[in-house]
Amino acid sequence: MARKAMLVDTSICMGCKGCQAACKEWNDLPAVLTRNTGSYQNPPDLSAKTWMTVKFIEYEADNRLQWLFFPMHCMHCTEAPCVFVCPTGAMHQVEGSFVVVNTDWCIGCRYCVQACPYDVARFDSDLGWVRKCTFCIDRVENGLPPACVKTCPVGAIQFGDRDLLIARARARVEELKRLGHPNANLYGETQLGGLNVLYILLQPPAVYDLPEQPKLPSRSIALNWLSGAIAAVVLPTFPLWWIIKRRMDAEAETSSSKGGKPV
Amino acid sequence: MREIVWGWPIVLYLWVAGIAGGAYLAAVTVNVLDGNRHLTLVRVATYLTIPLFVLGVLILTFDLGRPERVWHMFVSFRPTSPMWFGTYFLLIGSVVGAGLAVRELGRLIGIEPPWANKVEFWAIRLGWLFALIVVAYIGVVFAQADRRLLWSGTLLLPALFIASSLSTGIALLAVILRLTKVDEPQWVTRALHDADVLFIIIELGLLATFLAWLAASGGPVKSLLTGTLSIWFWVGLVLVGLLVPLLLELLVPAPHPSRWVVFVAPILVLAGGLVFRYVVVFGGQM
Repeated sequence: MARKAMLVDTSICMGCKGCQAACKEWNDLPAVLTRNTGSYQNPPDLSAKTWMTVKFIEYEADNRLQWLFFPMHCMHCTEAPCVFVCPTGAMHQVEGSFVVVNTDWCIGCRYCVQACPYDVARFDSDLGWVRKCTFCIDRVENGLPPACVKTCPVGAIQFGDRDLLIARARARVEELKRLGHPNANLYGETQLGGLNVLYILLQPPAVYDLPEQPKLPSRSIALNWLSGAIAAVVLPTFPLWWIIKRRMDAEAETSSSKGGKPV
Repeated sequence: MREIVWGWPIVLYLWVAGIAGGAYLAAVTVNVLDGNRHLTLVRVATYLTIPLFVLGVLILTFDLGRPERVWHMFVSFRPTSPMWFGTYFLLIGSVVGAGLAVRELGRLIGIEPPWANKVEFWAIRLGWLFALIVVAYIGVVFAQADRRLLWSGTLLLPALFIASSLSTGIALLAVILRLTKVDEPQWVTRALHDADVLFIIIELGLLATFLAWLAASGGPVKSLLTGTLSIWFWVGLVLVGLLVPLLLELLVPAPHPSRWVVFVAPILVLAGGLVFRYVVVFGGQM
């Protein structure tokens, strides 16, 4: 089976939040009480009970206000930091594409929450484990598209073979550039071994609060262990050795020179 | 402010486990360097380390969303996760600690088989190694969180944790030795005070390098220096936790220090260790 992925074309998203509602419906997630934050964005953030939310971004450049929509859920990284750091394997990958939590195995240590570069994995304090978007694995495995894809009334979220989606996205980015969006770009092709949720953006990733190129966990781990090992060898040995030797020598001197004052 | 994912229990765990590991490291190092003449010191450290270690592990377990599932870590093999490694080290370390506790119990009730001393000799050295790992692995756990720049922006977090663990562990050991008056020869207690002075200086140096490095890599230095945590950082950590005890130890002549300095300086160092962990854990998540 070719690698499956999702492509979100933010240039045609109209911010209807149908995907948000469909996600809650399919995954049986309860409504949450929220506060007006002065934006149409609601709920204002992802949570253990909201796995998808459309971000509304007001971006000003060259005296022009741009209203950007960004349907946000788990990126399903190929080299996922959450899977990398999970101490039980509850956070795992299915078919190399989908990052899923086994909620029967998760112990609620929340390390994945700390490690996720996109702040997607969230701890459910009512249940005691972490929950997030599953790529509707239960639908996909039965030949159906994810709920958000199925619902989107303008086709802004597409589902299919990753290679085909990338080819389509590249053509669309070129088209957008011709249509007066010089900053249009494709996000997710290379990040963290390739995201399985790809985005066509109208502005640079930073505008959407997306990290340009998150560190690969497999690359930072060796350096982190090395820094820990060096500090562990140097700090407790040499300083202590020096101090103790000094006092031992002082003691030896006193005991050898009779009549000397006790130190 | 963002949601705090790892809160006070984690701060307390880091503090308690750091003190436990640091005290044991210091005691065993003195003992080994001075030809095994300080078994009393090692025993004092054992009595401090084991309860603190157990307390730390309990805090850590009950901070889980599902404490009853903690065994899932022991039956998994997750070598990429620093937390999995840490848990395994804690597990094996507990076995060594339990052995040392049984040995102490044997001493108290008078059961001492002929091989007990030989086993203890090696168990102490193994305990030293695990104490070292306990104070060292935790910085790696934090450094692996890429989005938290305070933790991952430099490579100095493990070093800071280790230095602080040693200084707080040594401080507690010094206080207990003064209280129990079992320090023989007397130079050991003085050496511990020397060591605390040295580690305060090392910590100040590391902290300055850490901040400079963090600033250079675009990290959230401001939140520490002028932001919400600045009072904790400047007053709690730098002033009360490091500079005041340093001055107290340096200004009061060593041979006949007044009683209050002997106790106040290490207690401030211990408090500073708690503030340091609070600033790092909460600061990283803001």
